Amino acid sequence: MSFGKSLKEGLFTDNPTLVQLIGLCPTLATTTSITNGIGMGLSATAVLICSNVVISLLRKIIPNKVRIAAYITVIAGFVTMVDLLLQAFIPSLSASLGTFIPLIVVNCIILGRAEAFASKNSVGKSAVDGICMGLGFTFALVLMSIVRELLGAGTIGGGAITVFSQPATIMILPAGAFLTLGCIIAVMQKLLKKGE
Amino acid sequence: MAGKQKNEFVQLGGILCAITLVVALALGAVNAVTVDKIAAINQQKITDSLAQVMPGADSEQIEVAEGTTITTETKNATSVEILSAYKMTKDGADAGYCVEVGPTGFGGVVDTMVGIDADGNVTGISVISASQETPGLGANSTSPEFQGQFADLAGMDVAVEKDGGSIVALTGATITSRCVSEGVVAAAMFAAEQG
Repeated sequence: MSFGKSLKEGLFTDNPTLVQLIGLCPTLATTTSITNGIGMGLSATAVLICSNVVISLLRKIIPNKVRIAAYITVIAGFVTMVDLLLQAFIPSLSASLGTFIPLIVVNCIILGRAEAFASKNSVGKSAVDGICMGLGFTFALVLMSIVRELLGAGTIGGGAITVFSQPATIMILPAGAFLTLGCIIAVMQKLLKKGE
Repeated sequence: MAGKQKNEFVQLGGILCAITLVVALALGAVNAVTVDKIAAINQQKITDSLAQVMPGADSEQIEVAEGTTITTETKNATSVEILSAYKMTKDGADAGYCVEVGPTGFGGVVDTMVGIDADGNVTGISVISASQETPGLGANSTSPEFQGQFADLAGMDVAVEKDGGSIVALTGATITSRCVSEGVVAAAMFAAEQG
């Protein structure tokens, strides 16, 4: 499978968030600003690539009966590393994402790809899968956070540009997350139908 | 059969054990690289907030037993944890205390530094972290406009408008605003106890 095809699948036709509808908890919770969306997306992507590669490498060693425990150990290890590195080098992002970084451990995209893809495919393919699925997740988060930040806070880029000063606060509250996600999924479905 | 089953357990356990060992070693390595940096960043946050609430004063940390709480007689009468405290001096003269309090807001603890001068008045406050408050509402408690309201008030009497005080709340629900106000009252009480 070519990289281009994988990328198209990850971003559009098989997008983990918008088509497979997995990993919705961080999608709804962290997309209050574009900085948060990109930060969460890239952190999860980093973990996904690393865990996919390691699990693919170990796929013949890990016994079937304890595979979930082994996957979670590997994933939790990488998440903790990302958490520590963010705290040390990008403290502002770490502060705004708060508990959601440790919660990447239970993001179903990562365990899902480990179980459905990395445990059955070669290291190279798994790395490509990690990159494409991770970028798909990031793409969805960025879309969500652009809409929510613009409508809910009236700004673009974490307050760098103020577009208008009377924002609809509901859009950055949990209800706004559901509204935005619903609309984006609807548009996505419409576009995918057209593309068929 | 029994022997075979036992072997399988040893094999499964062994592999799982090896994986956890490798992961633990890797985590140890990352921790060793980042631990000093993280401690320095946290220390810097405290130093910055001290300079913000009481500019130009020297601080000396005083011991606070972990888990020390102060119960205020405010609307919610919650107990507020005292996270750390500093004796402040300015040009050798007594300048009161800076107290880092952790009152409970909507989503968790709102880490706040409060400066209290020798007369029990607030010199300033700095909300260090309100990341668990609602974005766009309570999380705005880190804004200078909100924090500026607390300066020069008598520490013990700080309250939101709804409770008969002078603090203009961030939102109608006043959860975070009331929590920060309670933190300030607790800091004033703690400073008064120290004398």
